[in-house]
Amino acid sequence: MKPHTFLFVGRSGCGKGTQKALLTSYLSQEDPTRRQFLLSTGDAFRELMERDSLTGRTVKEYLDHGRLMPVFLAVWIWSGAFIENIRGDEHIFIDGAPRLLPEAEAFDSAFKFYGREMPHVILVNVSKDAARERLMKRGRSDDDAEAIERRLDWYDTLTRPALDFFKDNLDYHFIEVDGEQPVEAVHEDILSRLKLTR
Amino acid sequence: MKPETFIFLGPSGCGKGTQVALLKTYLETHMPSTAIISIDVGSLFRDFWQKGGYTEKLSQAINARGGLQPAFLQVYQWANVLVGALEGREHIIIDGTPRRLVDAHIMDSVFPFFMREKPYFIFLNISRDTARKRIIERARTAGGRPEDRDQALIESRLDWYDTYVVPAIDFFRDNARYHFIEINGDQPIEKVHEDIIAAIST
Repeated sequence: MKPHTFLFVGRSGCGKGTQKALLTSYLSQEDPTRRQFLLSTGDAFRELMERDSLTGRTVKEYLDHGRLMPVFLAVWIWSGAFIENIRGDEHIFIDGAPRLLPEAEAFDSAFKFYGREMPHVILVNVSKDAARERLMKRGRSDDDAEAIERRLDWYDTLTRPALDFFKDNLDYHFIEVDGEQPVEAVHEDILSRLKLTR
Repeated sequence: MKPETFIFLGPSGCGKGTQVALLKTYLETHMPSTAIISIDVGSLFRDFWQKGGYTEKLSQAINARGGLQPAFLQVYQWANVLVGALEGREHIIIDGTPRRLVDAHIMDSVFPFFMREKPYFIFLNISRDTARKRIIERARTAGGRPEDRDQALIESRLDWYDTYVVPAIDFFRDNARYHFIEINGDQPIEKVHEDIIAAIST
């Protein structure tokens, strides 16, 4: 199997983290000798806010209020991770990015630079109501009601144009799956749509 | 003067490096207790290539053939300095970026996040002929840059500037969130410096 690039996208609460974990498990079995590089930008932001610096303190403020991180910081986070980790021979799994159109364009520049062919963009679709319910249940520290509403709103206005950049782009394999099914069914859907061959 | 942000842009050979150095001296003299964070993207890349990793080698190969670095790496270089060093009381001087419209959009997200005063965007304008002459002059000096020594590469960089950098400059030109200052770079060095100081002092 050649090295693949997977981006898991969708609303907060859609289950993209779960689906990413299931796919990495699957590929660990199907392609055991190939390295995997996993990137979760949400986790990286939560780490950044621990830093005692202007950036760390401002990130914490933004996270506490459900504000969308500035695009320069998102790009810095995953660029640094790419520089440190990419060697050319690995499967790459990204979840939680891009969230804004210029970030999608920055990703495009990175995939072309690294020669990553036909990245798969996997959109896990859930309705706004379903997402809200799941986020209230999840109870993570940045998940109070106001912050949740903000995140649901910016997905529609800011993130959808970023996803459309990949959807209408011949260099990407864009697939949409119904995220409101049971977890295993979503996983099976993804596998059948990906059609990964050796 | 509160801590200010200055972004310098213009064609290769316009004298950004020289003018940044003169501005730094001016700021150090007039506001000695305010630190300066100076970001020279070209020089950050040159240090980056020394590290010799997978990404660094790919990036260096692009430079060797006179190509433009990908947007994500451009952003990484200057963002890395700001994330690591900025505490909020410093002047910031940025030289050599943005190089295309998407870089400009991404850089635009920096200043509200760090609550910076309205930045100065200083466009040093020179004609294509002047740019070409100055690049060739620079190539003849000892320690000149490899990408300056190939005539075809010089032309393709000048083409690139017209196609990609100009729209990035225009993004800041009509943008109320920036003080856009256009300076005639085809003047003696001291006169360009005086024009810049006059523009930022009003």
